[in-house]
Amino acid sequence: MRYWITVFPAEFNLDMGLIRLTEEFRDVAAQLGCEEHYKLIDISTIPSYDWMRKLTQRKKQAKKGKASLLFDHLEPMELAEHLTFLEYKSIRRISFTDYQSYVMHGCLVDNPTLERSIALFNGVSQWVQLMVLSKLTPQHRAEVITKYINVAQKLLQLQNFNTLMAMVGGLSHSSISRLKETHSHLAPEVNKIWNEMTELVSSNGNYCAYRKAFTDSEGFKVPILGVHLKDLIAVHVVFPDWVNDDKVNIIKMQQLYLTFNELVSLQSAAAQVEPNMDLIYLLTLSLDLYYTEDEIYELSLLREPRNPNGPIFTPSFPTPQPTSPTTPNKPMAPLDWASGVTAKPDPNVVNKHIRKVVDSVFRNYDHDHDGYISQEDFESIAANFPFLDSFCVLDKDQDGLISKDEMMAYFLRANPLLQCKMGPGFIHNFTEMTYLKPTFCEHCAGFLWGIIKQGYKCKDCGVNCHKQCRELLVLACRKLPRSTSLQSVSPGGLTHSSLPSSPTIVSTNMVLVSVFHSCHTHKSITLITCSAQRISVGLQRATTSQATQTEHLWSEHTWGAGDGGSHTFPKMKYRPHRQASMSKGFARWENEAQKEPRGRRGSQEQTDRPAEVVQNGIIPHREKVIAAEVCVLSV
Amino acid sequence: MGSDEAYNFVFKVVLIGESGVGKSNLLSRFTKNEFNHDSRTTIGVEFSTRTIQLKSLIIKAQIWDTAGLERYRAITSAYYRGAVGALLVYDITKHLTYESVERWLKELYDHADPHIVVMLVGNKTDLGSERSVPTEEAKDFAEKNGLLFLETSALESTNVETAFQNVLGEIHRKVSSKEVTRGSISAVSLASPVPRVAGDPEEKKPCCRNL
Repeated sequence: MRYWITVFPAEFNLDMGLIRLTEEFRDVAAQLGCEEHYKLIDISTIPSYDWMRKLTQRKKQAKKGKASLLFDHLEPMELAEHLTFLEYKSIRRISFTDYQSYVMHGCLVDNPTLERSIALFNGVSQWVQLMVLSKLTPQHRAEVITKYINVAQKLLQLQNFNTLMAMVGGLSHSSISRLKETHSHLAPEVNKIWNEMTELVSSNGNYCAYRKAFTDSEGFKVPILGVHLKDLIAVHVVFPDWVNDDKVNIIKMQQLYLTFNELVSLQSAAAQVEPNMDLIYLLTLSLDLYYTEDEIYELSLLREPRNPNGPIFTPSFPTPQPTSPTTPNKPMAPLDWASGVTAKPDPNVVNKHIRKVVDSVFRNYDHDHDGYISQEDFESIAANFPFLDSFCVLDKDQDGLISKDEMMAYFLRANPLLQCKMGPGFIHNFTEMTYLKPTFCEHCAGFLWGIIKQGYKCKDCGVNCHKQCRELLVLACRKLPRSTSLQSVSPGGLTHSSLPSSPTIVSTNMVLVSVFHSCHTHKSITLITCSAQRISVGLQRATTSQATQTEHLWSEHTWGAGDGGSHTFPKMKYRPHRQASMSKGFARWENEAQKEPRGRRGSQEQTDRPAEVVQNGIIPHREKVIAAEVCVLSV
Repeated sequence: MGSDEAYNFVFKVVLIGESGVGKSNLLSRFTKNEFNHDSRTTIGVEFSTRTIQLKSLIIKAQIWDTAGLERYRAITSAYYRGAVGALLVYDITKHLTYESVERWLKELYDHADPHIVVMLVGNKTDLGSERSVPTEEAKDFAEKNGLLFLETSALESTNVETAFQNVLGEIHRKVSSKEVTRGSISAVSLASPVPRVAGDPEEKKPCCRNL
């Protein structure tokens, strides 16, 4: 037992069941008065291995030269090394207990490290496919394939079989393998290497080629995790735990030992790569881009249509980024396949990555260190991110230069967008809406023009936006607990009903942002007026139809229950407040002291407070300030 | 892998479905006497072939299990290539595993031969009391989609044999009735000098997308 504890301290630190068992055992020993035994099985002194499960184990940043981060300039070896670094980092975090849990459950339950590793694997495959498909001509695509085959070769040299499998898998995926024309541009010797590679990781004979290679290789090596997981499951299923009811099945234990031993020994192996962190960040971000297989396949069809004799569909996009994640007119199907594969890091982690990448990009490309990137430099960066938008999309203020902020904003905008396809909680439930009141798009803050069917509203959270902005909306869909009381309440009871779809009230800074936003983009609405009062009218119109959620910070004042959509936009501008709010026949309700927790705030919670507050003639101090600022802006 | 005995056909059959539905159990039940557990790591645990007699013919079934690999997209899509039969397994006690059947079907038809014989298999009938997928519902679905259908219990060995037999029989029927055009489903007959697995992954096969 002591031997066990000293040799596998990690297990005693990570497996709660084992800890408990050992402690019970220790207590029994203590009760029986066996002092020596008590000491032997003391696990309180073993070091904590929690770090193994924790995320990054940071390395000192290597002295970075001005390495090129351009995909086209990266040497295969360099790419292979850095991919291996990422792979190794991800794989060594998987502990024995993670493997055990996977085998016992037969699936991923509460197993973030393994999930992350699988996501990395799939990320590599998709990245490979996308990079190939991002090129417009067969020659260029063939070049990229050749490059990846070279990288695969280097991965084999580094004995990183897992990434090798991912890469070969990506290249042999039907979206790539169907590109006949592209493949005709591959050099014979490249094809030969390629065949060797596929042979090596093919599933023939239960991966015998790979198994042989893996056993023969020495030193640092990364196994194809999936194959070994399959083995574990197979052993687990085939062999019973016990033989003759009372003996442990030694054959099974032996088998399990062999596989586990291989996997666990990985953790003690040392990586030989001294990474260029800039490149690591870049790769991390590249690999996080998530497309569905259908999207990739469609792109493949676009590149080389099925029937070359038939009418060839020419892409109507001038830029080589036809499926840019942020191109508004290209709605993407929601991800339905990998429903369980939500192995995305949380938004904070992604944002951190983005920040790092942007920093790296600027360190390397902002040659004159003025904090801006010129169009020319941009084009070269864009090669790394095949589906980056064109220069002008990023260059929001259109001064011909991209500032750090602009780039950050872009990625931050694009990334949650990709993520939204991952998390079920994110997806909005949009339906086409006819708005009776002037309404603004949550995404671009633009007015929803038109007389009918101006835009889309999410049934779940009430957010509104343009048809083309639907896919771009970065706000998570937070289903709101909607009471139905207003609809169901009898007319007499209206005055004291709660506010199911009353205008939303948000925290002050949100209000401010929103006010500025409206002022900026909708001069026609807000700037005509010059008193705070009227401005707030505009705001109110813009947002009452949001009908999202109530967050009553101000209690005990009454206001109009909205005007039921009876007013058209132009009228409203000139209508004095009191009159608007008193529209006859509409119920008024009292805002009882129903304070909802303040915690929920996302920008989809639209702002109405200033409007409402002004309307009621009660202007709390902070609101005055805002109103004043609005005033200043509009003058 | 198994035996050197003579056989007339080799059929590659894949087992697919959500993780945890009991694919490996079904397979080990079907091939229980024929797996290798050589401790040499170069072979690994292999229990995927079984030779069965179908009328006068000897058919070698090579069954590929995706257990443990469901999430590795690059690995699993390689599995489908060359498969002539598939058992699409769900767990009758877990409705979610049934709901995902359509996705698996789509995935299968994307990567495998369009003429592939597919059987929908509702596993774990031994847990009948916890059933959440009605037999009729699944049966209807199977009929609409032209799939064979059976409910099995790997634990109690109910219908396991029948399920595999039916699939292999149907494949054989398709192959021999020439319902399928030559080359679409490839089966290796005894006549070929070196018996190859039907649908060797190395072969460039037309896939259902009709390149």
